[in-house]
Order: sequence, then structure tokens, then C-alpha cells
Amino acid sequence: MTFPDILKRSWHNLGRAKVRVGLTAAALAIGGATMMLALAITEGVQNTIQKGFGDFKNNYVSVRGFVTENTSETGVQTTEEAAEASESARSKSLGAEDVNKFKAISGVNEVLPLSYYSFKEVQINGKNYKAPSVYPLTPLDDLLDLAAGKREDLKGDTIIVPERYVKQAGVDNSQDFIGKKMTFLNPAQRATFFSPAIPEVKREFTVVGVTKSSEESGDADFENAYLSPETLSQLAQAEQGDNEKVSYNQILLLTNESQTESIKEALKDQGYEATTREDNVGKALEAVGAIRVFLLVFAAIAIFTAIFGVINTQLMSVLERTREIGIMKALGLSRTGVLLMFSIEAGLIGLIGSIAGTLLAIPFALLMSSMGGEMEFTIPITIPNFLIVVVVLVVVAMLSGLLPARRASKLDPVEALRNE
Amino acid sequence: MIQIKSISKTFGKKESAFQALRDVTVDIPDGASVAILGKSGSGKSTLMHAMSGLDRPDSGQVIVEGLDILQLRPKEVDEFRSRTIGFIFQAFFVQGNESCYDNVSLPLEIAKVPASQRKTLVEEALAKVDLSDKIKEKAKNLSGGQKQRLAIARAIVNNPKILFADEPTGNLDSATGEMVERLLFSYNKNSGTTLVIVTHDPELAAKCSMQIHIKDGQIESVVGTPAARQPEALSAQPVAAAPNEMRVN
Ligand SMILES: Nc1ncnc2c1ncn2[C@@H]1O[C@H](COP(=O)(O)OP(=O)(O)OP(=O)(O)O)[C@@H](O)[C@H]1O
Ligand SMILES: [Mg+2]
Repeated sequence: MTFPDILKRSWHNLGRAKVRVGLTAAALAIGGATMMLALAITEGVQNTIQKGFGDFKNNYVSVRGFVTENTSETGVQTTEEAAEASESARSKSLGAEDVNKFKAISGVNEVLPLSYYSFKEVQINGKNYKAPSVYPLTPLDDLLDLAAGKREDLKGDTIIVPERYVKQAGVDNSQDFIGKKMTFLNPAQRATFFSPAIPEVKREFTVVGVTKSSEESGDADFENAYLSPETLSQLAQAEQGDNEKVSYNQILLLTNESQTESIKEALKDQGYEATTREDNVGKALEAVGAIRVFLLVFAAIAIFTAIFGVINTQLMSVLERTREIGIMKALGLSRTGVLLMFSIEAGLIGLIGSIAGTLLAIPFALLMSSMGGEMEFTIPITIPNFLIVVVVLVVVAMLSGLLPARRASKLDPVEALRNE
Repeated sequence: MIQIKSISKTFGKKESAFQALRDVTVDIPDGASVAILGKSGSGKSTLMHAMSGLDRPDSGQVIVEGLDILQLRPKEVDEFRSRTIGFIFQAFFVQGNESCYDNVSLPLEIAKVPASQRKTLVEEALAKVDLSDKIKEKAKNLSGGQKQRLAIARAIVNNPKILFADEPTGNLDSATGEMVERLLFSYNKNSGTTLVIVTHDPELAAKCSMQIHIKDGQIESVVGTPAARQPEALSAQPVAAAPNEMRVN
């Protein structure tokens, strides 16, 4: 018998015992649904993490300052030591000498000193709006999606702004917004008892890029504007006044992936507070790992139980169809043919189970996605994951069906056709 | 030509051993119609199973079309049956919840006949047994006689060289039985297929060109002529008047 003929006959045979087959497939479907959710949740969380951290490459070390607590070798800190440590930490901030030191480390490709500065208001067409948060654009923002413009154009007095300002300015098309000027400002502040007077800061930027606003994010106010790191540093420096020496909020070291960890360790030994992307992503991944393990264990138990269902169903089927098997063997169907026919039948039960399981998983995935709320967390039911579930359940069902199938293939046609 | 050379078959082991066939030797010429007769339990079915490659005798030779089927590997025996042999059973053994078409198509699928040729072959076979109008009907909705005709269609669809029928009329009333007999004999005549019928019925046996009488697993007598190998001789000679009777034991 050729494969298509066997497949067709197997499918017909399943149709004869719909209830039994249905129940067995349902048991498999529960395992399949759980497995699907485990895969989907993992993928969903990873997507969310990647949105925040870019493609997962462990290719930078972020230095945000110095470690304040300086434990002595005995592990017990004397009061003098503690005072000394905090004093030195306060007096130290990241500066030009740190930048130069980092540049000399081998494995560091680029050193980006970053400072932060924020504006209160933005003027468009003479009207004032709440200003977006402004961040320095670094190579780490590689996932930033632009609706118009080029990120390479960002330097000096240029800016990349969120899409909502296009609408606020009454412009239809993001492309038409490129080249427009926007004025960012911080109003003057009078001197108080605590702080000196601050003069008004007003800067005009030319738009060179517009970021796509993501549909899912409930609050567009969370979206940021981007300036070049140098421009932001200048703004921050100007605020500190000329008499202070240059200092940075953060220094980013773009590193060779293979050396990232060793560079981080070396910096920590020197008292810097240094983290890598792996540190940040790792914490999130650990939590996901736990959920995933739980779901996978549940899926394994459900599937394991369903195995007995498949064996039982197929054994019954072989018993019921003893004569039919006898006839087919008498007509010359080989052992392998019979084995294949029953294995395929079991495999089809697995296929039905995996499709039903995936359908079952969809409402749960939607429910869990909606619970994410502002976190922009979706649990995607994807084709590749569906295929994984199909392959696993079909293989499991076929292996379970092997015992009954072997029994069928070994039937002696003379015995099977003996008159009762 | 089927040549059976001193085959024996024992069922069971040691104390419960039972010898169902003892040193059976017989030749069946091509195109013959043969009745295997004997009391219940005499070994008729066992002999038929041995001849058709369904079961293996413990010793001896079974040579069909020059092929010693006991020397073949199981897979080759399966293939031999699917190409050469058709079976009809007392209890029909048609597949009730399948259509007549699917029942008759089964041997073709097993013999790997290309799908393009199957439809015509199935339709022809069903026409020969006068079931063309039931082609889409589920087999369980047929009467007993129709079921046996369906079984005949299934047995002949792949143009077998030898047709084995184990008490084909045993479950039918005499009128229906006669119709089935006519079908079998006309197929035997028209297509030159060798027909081997296991039966208790002397009347049916008398219509065959050769009768093999079995008793206690041994051939009691073979009536009919081994010389009837020429088809002319076969059709010219009415069965009942088979002249030479040879005693084997
Ligand atoms: N698998 C088996 N195990 C043990 N004994 C068997 C087996 N098959 C057949 N026999 C015995 O072999 C003998 C011949 O059996 P067989 O079926 O050939 O008889 P038969 O002539 O066809 O009888 P019937 O007319 O009743 O069908 C019987 O005595 C039977 O009990
Ligand atoms: Mg019998």
C-alpha cells in the first residue's frame, strides 16, 4: 500500500470511533495547550525584554558611578572606613579622566560619555506643550523605529521626536515634519532660599527624524525624544556652570562580546559600578524561566497521562478490527503496512490533539495578554510554536501507538479469520 | 499449476500436538475447478491455507506457477498473494462501514495498482457481480447474497491466477448460493482462473472438474483428471463424469 492510501484509510478508521478518538485527542489537547502557553509566554516575555534591550548581544558595559559601600577585607567595616568610603564616593563623579582610562582598555571599541538633561516645555507654532523626555541616541537604541528621517542625521542642533508632535503641529505626514523647527525651553527660575536664580534656557532644534508611535502602548506620553550625546552633554554642562569640571551621568563602553564580562569585572575591582546587558536581561529571564518550567512540567504530566489514552484507544481499535486486519494481511498487506497504518492512525490523533490544543490555548493567551496592561506584554501564538506542538504530540502519539500497532502487525491472518 | 509435494502441518506442541495435514501430495492444473471435500475438522481449510501461502506447512513443498512459496521471505509471500491469489470466505468478511467501492479497491491498493487504473477495474469487477448500482452503498446495507457477490468482486478485481473459496455458499440459502456458484464457475471458465472451493456440499463439488477428498488430514482420493491440463479437455468434459479415480492411500 502506498502512503496516501494508508493515510486515507487511517483517517476513515478514526472517523468510525469519533467519541473514543475525540476523548483521547482531548487529553492530548490539554497537554498541547499547556505546552503552547509555556512556549508563548516565554516568547512574549522575551519579546518584551528585547524591545527594551535591543537584540540580545552582550556588547556593552554601563558605568554609572562608583560603588559606595567599600567592605574591608575582614568583611566588617569600621566606622572610619565607612566614612572614608562614602566621602571618596561623593567627591568622585565620572569625568574626562575616566573616559580616557576606559578608552585605553583593550576590547573597548567606543566610549560614550552620557549626560542627561530635561526640558519642561516645547513650542510648536507658537503654542507651548509638555516636553518629551530627552535621551541620548546611542548604538544601543538599534531597534528604534523611525516613521520618517534618518538617525545618522542626528548631530548638533537636530532632534528626533515622537510622532504625536506631528499631529499636534497640524502636519498630516511625518515626512513633511522633517526639517521643521521646534523650540525647547526651561523657564527662568527666581532665586529661593535653597537655590540660586536660574536663567531661562531656550534651544531651537531642527527635526531630522520622527519615531513611530507603537499602537499598543496606551500612553504616548511615555515616548521619548532623542538628541546626540554631545548635545545633551553640552546642555548638562551649561547647567552646572563653567567653574565645575566636566562630569557625566553614565559612561557606556561598547565592547567586544567575548571580553565584556572580563572588562566589567576589572572595572568593578577598581570600584566602578558596572553592569552589562546580560545582568539586566538575566534578572527578567530568571522569572520567566520559573513560569516556563512550571508550565512545561504540567504539560509533561498531561501528555504522559494522555499516552495511556492513546495506547488504550488503539488497543481497542486493534481488537475491534481483528478480522479487517486479517483480511488485509490475507490480501497481501505486509507487516510493515499494518504497522504503518496503525501508527499513522495514532499520529493523526496526535495531530487532532495539537490543533485542538492550540485553539484551546488562544483564549488563555488573549486573557493573559490583556492582563499585561501598560506593560505592552503579548503572548503570541505563532506558527513555529504551533509546529513544535504538532511535532511533539504527533511523535508522542505515534510512539504510544507503536505497541498496539505491533500487535496488529503480528496478527496471524488465519487466526484472525477463523470462524466463530 | 499448483504442485503440493508431501506437506504436513501440526498444530500445538507436545501432548496437545495435533497433525492436521499428513504428507499430502496433489497437483492442480491451470484453469481447473477443484473441490476440496471432507468432514468438518478433516483439514480442508488447513490445506487451502497452505496452498495459498496464508499459512506455512511444517514440511514439504508448495509450488505455484513454478515458484516454491515456502522458500520465499514473508514479504515476498505477501506480494505473491496480492498479485496471484483471490480469497472468498464463508462469512464474507466485507468491511461493513466502507462503501462497496472501497471494499473492492482494497486489494488494488495493497497491490500498489496505480490510482488511475483502479476506478475502471473496480467498476468492471462490480459489474461482473451485478452490483454496479451499489457502488456507493455501505457494505453493511447489503443482503447476504450481495455481500458474498461483493466479496467475489473484491477477490477478482486484480485478475488473480487462483481463486480460493472457503465454503462460499455456507451462509446462503440455496437459491442465492446457486447464483454465487454460477458466478464463480463462469469466472473460472471465462478468465481461465483456477478455482479452488472448499465445501461439504456434494452437489457443488460435482460441478467441479476435480474433487479432492480429505479425511483426517490425508488425501483419501482425487477424482478428476490430472490430464485435464489442456483447457479444451477441461471444458469438453462435464465435471460429474470425471473418469479416472485414483486412490492415494
Ligand atoms: N490453530 C490451530 N490450533 C490447533 N488446532 C487447529 C488449529 N487450526 C486447525 N486446527 C485443527 O486442525 C484440524 C483441521 O482444521 P480445518 O480448519 O482445516 O478443518 P476443516 O476441514 O476446514 O473443517 P470445517 O469444515 O469445520 O471448516 C481440526 O481438527 C482443527 O481443530
Ligand atoms: Mg474449514
